[in-house]
Parts: sequence; C-alpha cells; structure tokens
Amino acid sequence: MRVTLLEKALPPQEELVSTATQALSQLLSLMGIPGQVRPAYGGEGTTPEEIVLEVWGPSLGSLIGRRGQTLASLQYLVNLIVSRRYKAKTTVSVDVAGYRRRRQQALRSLALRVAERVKETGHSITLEPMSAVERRQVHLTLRDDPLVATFSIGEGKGRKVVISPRKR
Amino acid sequence: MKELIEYIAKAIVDNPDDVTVSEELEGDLLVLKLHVAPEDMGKVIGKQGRIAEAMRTLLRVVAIRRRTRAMLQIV
Repeated sequence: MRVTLLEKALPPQEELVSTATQALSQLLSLMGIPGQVRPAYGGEGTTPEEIVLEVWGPSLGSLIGRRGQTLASLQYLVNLIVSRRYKAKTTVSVDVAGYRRRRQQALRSLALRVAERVKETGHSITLEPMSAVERRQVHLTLRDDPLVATFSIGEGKGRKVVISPRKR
Repeated sequence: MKELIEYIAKAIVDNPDDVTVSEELEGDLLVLKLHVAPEDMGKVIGKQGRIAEAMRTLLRVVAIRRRTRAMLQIV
C-alpha cells in the first residue's frame, strides 16, 4: 500500500481493512444492493500490503457501470471515508464480481493483439480512452517489447494510449 | 437515498452534526438538498467537483434501480 503521511500514521492494516470493509458494506446497504464484501490479498499484480475489497452478490452490473465508472466512484468514496477518518491517505482497491481482474486480462490481451497488428502494418494504432490504471496496464504489458513503443495522448478523460512501431 | 448521501457527507466533513439532507419531490423528480457547514463545502464538492460527481453517480444507480429520477443539490 502506498501511503502519504499527512497528520498521523495509519493504524495497523487489520484495522484499515475492517474500517474500509465496514464503509463499503454500509454504502452497499444504503444503496439497497445486496452484496458481500470480503478482503482479498495477493491477487495477480498486487503487493501483499495492498488492500483489495471484493464485492460478490447477484446482479452487480449496475455497481460496475459503463466502463467501470460506478465502480470507480465507489472506490473513490471508500478511500475518502477511510482517509478522512485516519487523516492519512489510503489506497484501497474495490473490485466487483471480479471485474477489475477480468478487465486487466482483457487489456493485456488487447495490448498484445494490437502490438502484433502494429508490427505487421508498420502503422501506429490509438486505443480508446482509458483511466490511468488501465493505460498503465497497457504500458506495462508492452514495456519489454523491443519492436513497439507506447505513449499517451490527450487530456483528462480523453487520454488514450498510442502503440507505435519502434525503429530499430 | 437521503440516508446514503447523509452517510457519505457525515463521514467526510469536519462538522458532521451540521449535515442535513432534505428531500423534495418535483413531479417525478426527487431533489435531494445537502446542507453542510460553510467551511465544509469544499469537502463535499471536491476538486473540480469530483466528490459531488461520485455521490451523484451512486445516486443515479439507486434511482435507476428504483425506476425513478433523483438529483443532488449542494446548497
């Protein structure tokens, strides 16, 4: 977990996990969405200290939203609630029904597929707009590929990744 | 929906006792009015309205599930 100390140190991780779990459960219950929240550790691409809260339940599609927009708001508010309480910044990830994990895998295969196409044609390809976390996933996937380069263009919500051939 | 906004606002302001949310029905539109202490306005709006936007996103999900329309005003 990346933390920035503002006024006081963060409490032990178990306490953070339990406060964040409570906050997320409370939000779901007030939204009238039945779902169970459970902390997950050691998932692919996470460090052991990273807190990931998973929500499982029936019909959670509306909790994810278009391009994960609702999920992003939910995660943002949970972090806000927890960090205001401890006066320190927290990085809690929220996942709903495995959405983030699936999206990560989908991004990885998209990146590899598009990179192949770029190598075949010799032309750059621009992907659709993505969040910072998603763009990072694309950059990381192709980081070690000597034949393509990746960079981002555009501002704010319209920022997107370009995959282009690398001259040798 | 009132309780949802109340819970979030109380959890992120410095003066939770000053948080109130009132509901008014305008036709089929439910208007939620969030009041906070003047010094807490920034805490519920956020930079570039990001916090207010996140609350509205959750509100929209609930409204759609209940087949109604809702709107959040910060006053």
